[in-house]
Amino acid sequence: MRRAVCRADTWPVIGAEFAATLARAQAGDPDAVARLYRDAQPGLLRYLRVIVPEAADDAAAETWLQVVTGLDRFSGAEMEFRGWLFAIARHRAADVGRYRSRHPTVPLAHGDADKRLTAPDTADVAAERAATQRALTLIAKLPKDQAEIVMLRVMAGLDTNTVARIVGKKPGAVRVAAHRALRRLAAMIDRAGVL
Amino acid sequence: MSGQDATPGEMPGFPFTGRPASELDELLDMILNGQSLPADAPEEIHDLGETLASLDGPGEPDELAGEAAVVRFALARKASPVGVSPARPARRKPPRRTIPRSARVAAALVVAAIPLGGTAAAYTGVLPGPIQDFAHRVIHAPPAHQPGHPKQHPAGDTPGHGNAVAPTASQPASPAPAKPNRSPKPSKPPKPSPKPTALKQKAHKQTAPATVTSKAKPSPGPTTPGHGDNETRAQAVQGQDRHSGLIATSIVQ
Repeated sequence: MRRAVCRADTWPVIGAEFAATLARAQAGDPDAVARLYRDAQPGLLRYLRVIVPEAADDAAAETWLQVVTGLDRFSGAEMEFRGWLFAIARHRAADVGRYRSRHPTVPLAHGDADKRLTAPDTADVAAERAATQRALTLIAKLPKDQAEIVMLRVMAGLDTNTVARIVGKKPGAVRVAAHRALRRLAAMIDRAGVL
Repeated sequence: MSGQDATPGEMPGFPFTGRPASELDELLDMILNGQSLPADAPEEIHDLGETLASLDGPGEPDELAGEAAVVRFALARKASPVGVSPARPARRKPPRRTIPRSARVAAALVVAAIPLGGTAAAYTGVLPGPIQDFAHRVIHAPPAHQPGHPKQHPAGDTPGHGNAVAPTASQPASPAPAKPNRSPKPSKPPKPSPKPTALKQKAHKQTAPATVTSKAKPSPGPTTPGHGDNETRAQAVQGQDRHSGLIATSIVQ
C-alpha cells in the first residue's frame, strides 16, 4: 500500500498569521519581510527555473524588488499575495528572457560548487533535495505552458481561476492543460521508474 | 476544445488506459488541489503525487541567499519614501521629440499678441479704413478716421500721425467723404509752423477731457468746440459708451 498523502502540505506556511506579518512588513519590519521572503522564495525560484531556467535568479531578484516596492499598496490574503507574487514573477521572467535573448552570454563551466550543499544536511534533507530536483527535471520536460500551469497549481498552490488570470487563459483551458500535464508526467514517471 | 483527454499519440505508454476518465480526472484534481489520495488509488497516481509533493521541499540556503538583500532593500525603501531603488535605476522614458519650451512660449505670446494688438490698433483708429469700419461694426471701435474728425487719442503720439491730424483739426469738416490721410509719406512735406503745433497741443488738451466726460456721462452736447462734424463725434462717443470705461481710459492714455 502506498502513502495516501499526495504531497507535503507545506503551503500556506504563514497561514493565520499572514495578515499580521503583512502589516508588519508594510510597516518596515525586517523580520516580517524576511518571513514573507523565506515562505515564498523557494517556490518562486523553482517556478522560475522551470519557465526561464537560464535566468531564474535574475528574474527572482527583479520580482522581489517589485514586490517590496509595491508592498505598501497590496491588500489581500495569503493566496492573493501568492497570486500577485507569481504574476509579477511571470512578467519579470518574460522581461529577463527577452533581455537574455538580445544579450546572449556564454555560461562558465560549472564545478562542484553548485552541487555542494551550503549547509550541513542530514540524509533526509539530501534525499528530499534530490527528489525535488528530479521532479523539476521531469516537469521541465513538459510543454512549457503545461509545465508552468503545473508549477502554479501544484507548487504555488494557486487555484484554477488565479492561474488562469496569470497565464491569460480560461479556467477550463487551465484545467485541461493541467490534466494533460499530469497524465504526461505520470507516463514519464512510469517509463523512467523515477521512484 | 472538445475533451480533456490527450490523444494516444500524445502520451505513449500512458498507464491509466483501463480506468474510466472521470475517475482519473477526480484523482488528478485531488493532486492539483493538494488533497490526500485514497488508499485504493492506482500506484501510478501515488507515484505522481509523491513526485509533485517533492516540489514543496523546504527552502535551501542557496535558494534563500537573497534574503539579506531583499530586507536591506525594504529597509532602504522605507527610509526613503521616494522609492529610489539602490539596486536598479529607475526606468526613464525615452526622450520624445518635442518642441522646445521657449518656442512654445514664443508661439503662445505671438498668438496672444495678435488679437490684442489688433484690438488695440482698432481702438486707436490706426487701421486702414475698411478694416477700421469692420472693427467699428464688430467690436465697436471708433469708426474710420475722416477728414475733419478728430482722433480719439491725442494727436502727436506718433510722429507721422500727428502731422496728419493737425491740419485736419484746423480745417472745417468737409461734407464729401475723403480718405483719411494715413500715408506715412505725406504728399507735401510738412512745414514746421507754430500754428499747427499749437493746434495739435490744443486738440490734445481738449480731447482727453471730452473722452472722459463721455465715459462718465454720455452727453450728446458739444463739449469740444472746433472739432468739426458733431454727428461723427457723437457716433464715436456712442461707440465708446458701449464699452467699458477701462478701454476708454486706455485709449485716452
